Amino acid sequence: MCFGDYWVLWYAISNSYSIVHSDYKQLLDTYFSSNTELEYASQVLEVFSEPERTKLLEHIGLYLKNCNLPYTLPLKPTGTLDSTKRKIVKYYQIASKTIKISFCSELVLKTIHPALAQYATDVAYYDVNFDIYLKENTLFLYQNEKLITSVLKTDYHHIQGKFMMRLLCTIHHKEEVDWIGTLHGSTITDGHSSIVFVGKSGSGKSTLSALLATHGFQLLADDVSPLLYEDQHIYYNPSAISIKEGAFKVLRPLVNGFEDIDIVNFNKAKGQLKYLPCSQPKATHYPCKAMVLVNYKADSETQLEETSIKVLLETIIEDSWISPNPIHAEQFLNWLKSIKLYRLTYSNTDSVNETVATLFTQL
Amino acid sequence: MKKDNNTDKITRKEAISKMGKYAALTAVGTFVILNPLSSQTQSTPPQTGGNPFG
Repeated sequence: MCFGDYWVLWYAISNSYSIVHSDYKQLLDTYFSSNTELEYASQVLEVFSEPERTKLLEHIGLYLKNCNLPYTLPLKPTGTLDSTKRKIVKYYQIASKTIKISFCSELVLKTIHPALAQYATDVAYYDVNFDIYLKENTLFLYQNEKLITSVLKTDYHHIQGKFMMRLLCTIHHKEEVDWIGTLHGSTITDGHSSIVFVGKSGSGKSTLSALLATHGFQLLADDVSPLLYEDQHIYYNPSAISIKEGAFKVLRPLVNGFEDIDIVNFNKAKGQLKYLPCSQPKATHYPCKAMVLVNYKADSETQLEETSIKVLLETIIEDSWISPNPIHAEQFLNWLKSIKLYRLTYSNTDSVNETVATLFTQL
Repeated sequence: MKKDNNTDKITRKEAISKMGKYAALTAVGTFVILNPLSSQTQSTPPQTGGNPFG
């Protein structure tokens, strides 16, 4: 699919996205339309010398080889629930569902509970039952006593991600196959449409989401933004916003009761965290009109400028799960084509609120 | 490689000719291949120390 000077090509066998310049796409098209390499050489004869043609063919061969490395689907796990691991039991009321989660320890509880603590309830009935426990070096996730996934304990973020996917399916009455993907970014809504804010870890996207959530906007999803195939809307993710210690100073004067939010020490490399609960938007899903690459830069002027698909995809693809289903991949590209792409540099909180508010009105 | 018609071949040849050697060679060097995650995750924790499950 063409995006200005770039083409985004999707390779089914590897579920990979390649971004090439339109000139390279022209060279590839010529290659694929030639019956033989000799015929291809004659097509590019006027432009390239013989050594250059040889190099070009080598390059295209290598490129196509790399784009077609087979994708392997994760194996379906099998296993039997160890119910003796149910040491800590919590209930959560999320949307219209009551979720029961049994954890084996305080440490394992910290992988899930802090982001959902605001939904904790005392009722002792449930719609869906999860078990999360550590056995030897492996973390297990069960839903209704059926093994969903197991990962090495150091890959605990996979358990968090899979649990979240199952939770999203539960509260939105969907199946995993209904989603195009879960984008690594935080989504904000003004009650009509939504904007996904993306950026590498530490870029300030969660902080910005928290700022906007205190200034008339609502948080639709933090960190994991689910995109549904049926309507290509971003759906509500109930997790609280994860705020790193570096942002405490900025948010303290803006968030009522900020000091009362418990500090969570879990991953030393991430430092202290606070999970900021936000109210649920009126609707459970909104159409997304823009994707904004966030760049917090101390003492900078607020600046919003259009950016390329290449920059955006380089930021999000490798940190997002995108379904390998060809129909979903096509829909994902169509969706990307339908939204605006920006880069936002900011440091001043008032100014950035104004800029985002203006952007919403223009979308 | 698949068959194509002659008209298209001439068009492509002309297009590459028009592109010029410099642009074509530059284009060859500018591509990226990105692989999405094969399963859902939360933000990836830093790899250097600090993992609570050690």
